[in-house]
Amino acid sequence: MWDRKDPRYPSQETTTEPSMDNKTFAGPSDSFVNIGSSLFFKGDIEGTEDLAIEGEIEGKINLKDNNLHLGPKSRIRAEIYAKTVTIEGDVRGDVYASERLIIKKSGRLNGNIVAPRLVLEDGARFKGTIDMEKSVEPPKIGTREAASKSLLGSSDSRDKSTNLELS
Amino acid sequence: MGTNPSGLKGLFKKGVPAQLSPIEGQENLHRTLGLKEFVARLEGRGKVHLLEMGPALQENIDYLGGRSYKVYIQDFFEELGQARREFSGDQEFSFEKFLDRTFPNPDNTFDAVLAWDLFNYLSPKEANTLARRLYLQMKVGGVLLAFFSSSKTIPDSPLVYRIIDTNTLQYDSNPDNQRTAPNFTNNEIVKMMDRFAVVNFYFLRNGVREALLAKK
Repeated sequence: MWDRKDPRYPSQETTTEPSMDNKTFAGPSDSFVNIGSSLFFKGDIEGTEDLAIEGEIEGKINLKDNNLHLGPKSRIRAEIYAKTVTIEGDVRGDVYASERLIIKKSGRLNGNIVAPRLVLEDGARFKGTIDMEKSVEPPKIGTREAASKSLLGSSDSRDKSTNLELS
Repeated sequence: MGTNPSGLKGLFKKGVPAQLSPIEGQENLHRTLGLKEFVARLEGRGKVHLLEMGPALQENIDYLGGRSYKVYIQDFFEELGQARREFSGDQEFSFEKFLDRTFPNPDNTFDAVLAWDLFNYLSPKEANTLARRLYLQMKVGGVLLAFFSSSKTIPDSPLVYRIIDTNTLQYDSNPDNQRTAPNFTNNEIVKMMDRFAVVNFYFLRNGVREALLAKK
């Protein structure tokens, strides 16, 4: 579930993004924490690590200064805050990217975007508003203690809202 | 109608064959005159809220976002087609209800609307209904840019226009699939857009009329 070495994802060094700066974005590398496609999670995710998601998330994702990669199978219903957000799956919700938002050709986003840079591949589907001027201020979601307690106490995340902290 | 700006000599030509090859030697490029005046009229309006009625495209977002506009992406033709495909009720498809769902924004939201050639693909009644809805959604003094074809036929679906610069658009289309063009006259366009003031019509060599309209 929390696999850091998922072979489906190429390492950062082998991913080519001709129009992008590989220092700030590539596909999810080995350093990304991975949420697999079988996972459904309802609640808030907050952390200080890069995160790759293939599963289904409802709630809020706050990675602040880290990167978020939403894979082709991901289904996200969430407000998202991260440094760089890459969308290959289906997202409903507002996205706040302090550095850049990338919507790949398989990606769909229905929501509003606040980001200084937006990269749209041909075929990407987007409906909503784009504001490239506003600054992104991630919200405070919860305390580390509250997140830990919630995690320890939840065995079936489909029935409960919870907080998840990655660090 | 406003005064035609200088530099148009040669662009106006009655009865020209309607073919989409506006810039010789540069296929799929369209020299636009309306876009320049469109953006000029938005200067000094503060934060511009712009409705883009085509698909989300990198070039257009770069151009419009680069001018600090807040851009609302509404791929109208795609969504209309999808709504029609999904409609399975016994009653007739309601264009009005579709507009209610498509434009949830309060009245007086937009300073600008890029409709491109969308109106070519609507019935006169639908086009008039959409024009009235856009009028309500726009702020006073807001501008709308729309293209109307004078050709006998047009591509089966709206052209996808990419903004290269203020004077140049690049368009994507499938020339193999054509349909009959509505071929609106200027009077029909004025009637369709009856609540708007006509800022200018640009009748280009390629048979495209660019209509720049403003909310009174």
